[in-house]
Amino acid sequence: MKKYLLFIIFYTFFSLIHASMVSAAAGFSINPPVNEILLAPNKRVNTTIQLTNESDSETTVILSLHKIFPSDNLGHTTIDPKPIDLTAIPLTITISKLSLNTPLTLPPHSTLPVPITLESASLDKPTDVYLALLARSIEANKTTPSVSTSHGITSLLLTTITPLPAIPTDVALTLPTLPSLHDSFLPLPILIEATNKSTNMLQLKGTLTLTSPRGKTLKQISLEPTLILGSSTRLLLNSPQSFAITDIGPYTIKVSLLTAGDRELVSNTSVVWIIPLRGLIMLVVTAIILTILKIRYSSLTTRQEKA
Amino acid sequence: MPKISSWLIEHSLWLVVLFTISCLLFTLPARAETMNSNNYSIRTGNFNITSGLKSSASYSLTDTVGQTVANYFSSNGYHIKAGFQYLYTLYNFSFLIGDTAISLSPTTPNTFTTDSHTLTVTAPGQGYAVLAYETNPLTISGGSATISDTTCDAGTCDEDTAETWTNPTHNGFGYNANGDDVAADFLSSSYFRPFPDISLSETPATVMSSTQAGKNRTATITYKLSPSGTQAAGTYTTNIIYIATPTY
Repeated sequence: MKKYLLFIIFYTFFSLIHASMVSAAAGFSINPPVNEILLAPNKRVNTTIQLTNESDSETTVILSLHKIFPSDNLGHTTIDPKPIDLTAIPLTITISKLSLNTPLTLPPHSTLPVPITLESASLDKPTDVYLALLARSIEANKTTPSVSTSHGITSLLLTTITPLPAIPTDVALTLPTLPSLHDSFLPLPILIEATNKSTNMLQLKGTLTLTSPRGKTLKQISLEPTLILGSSTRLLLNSPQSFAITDIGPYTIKVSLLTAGDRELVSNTSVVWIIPLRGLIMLVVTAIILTILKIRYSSLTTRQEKA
Repeated sequence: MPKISSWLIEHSLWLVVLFTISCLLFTLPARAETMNSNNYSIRTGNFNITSGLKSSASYSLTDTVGQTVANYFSSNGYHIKAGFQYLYTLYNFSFLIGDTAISLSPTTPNTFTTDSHTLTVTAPGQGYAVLAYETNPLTISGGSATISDTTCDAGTCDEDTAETWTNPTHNGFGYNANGDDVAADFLSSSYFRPFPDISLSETPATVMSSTQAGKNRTATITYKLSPSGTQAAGTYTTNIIYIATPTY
């Protein structure tokens, strides 16, 4: 019994020592990650972002605001590493009880509310401002390593300031270049992109409808609501579509893009001939082979009869 | 008992009047719960029979039951989705780094030295990206001598395009990413890129990215260094910054 007790004590002690030697991950979490804000001129809005230190140890962090830009058509952004000049944007941004670009310490596994107030300037046309609140660690190096690393996390602040009750829209719809003839055996590649030509962000949704030569709707796909920043492109759908072919002939693909309020912005229609190409080829090849075999058999039979 | 009942009947009118007055005087007004603090104010609430997260071995359900006027209304020019739904974020957007100190010393000229750590992202919604850049090239402490960023074996890799780097006589400093959601040009553990140098106004490079929600998406970053034989002796340092951004 004594041996077991000693074992338990040693094991517990060893576990505690070992655990403290394992370096814990450092990091942050942030909520919400994306904030979409609509403001009239000379109006103010408050929002609070929750920043959590996910590390087992105290972390020194700096809060800063940076410009962001769409980096692709998938909704990713790239960040300007230099903090923004706050006097150069039509927004006054204040964070109560905290200072930007000033180190502050977060205890382990603690959450810091970051209350942000955005006040718009007086503008006579809709203007967008895309920013990221960056929370980045500053490491107090105990030794000087070759490469020290800092980690940061962002919450996006996407703001439209508009004096108008309705924001002007200008959207271009790109459908794929479909082949004139498509084999029904293969899925039809569908890629739909929308380009927001205005400078203001827009929530879009839509539908894709495939109609048979007889006018029957074979398939209808909903395009999920997607945010497109001003002067950028967003991929709405990129997946091959399979469907049961009922007729041979011209099929119609119609794509309609709508605002969040179901107002149609733009639509586009493509026509593609879908036929069972492989089936037809197989049929023709089989017929040719059979014909050749028949001719050969006939000539063989004729020779035998003559002989 | 008969005495009490006859008394009640005789004075029923007065009893009704008394009861009505009591109700008017002592009934508390119905109020939605108001909560506030220095940082928030919730002005309206919701009355319901039950709400929250329920689960069993085979299901998980969030619900709000019994609230008033919960419905979808529409007319020309507007829609209203009225009501309160018990909704909560599945998980927060988070970014963890395995170790913040990378040691690439001691080094030997024309010989590779490596070290690595992990980046882990949890992203709800539509995905994320992790960007990386260096504040300056590896620079000697107290001086200006630097170790150049790698251009790989063929001399053609750059901040956005990884190439193979297996020959240590091609000196420089670079990194490889391997694991979940890493950039497609990291074809294997032999493919390396240099870091964008912010002191030269280069644009941060994407190391990891996804368009899907995901938990604990982990990539291993391997740093590789090979100094030249003529490199000045000393301690060289730089700072690599990783930034996780959500998809909008």
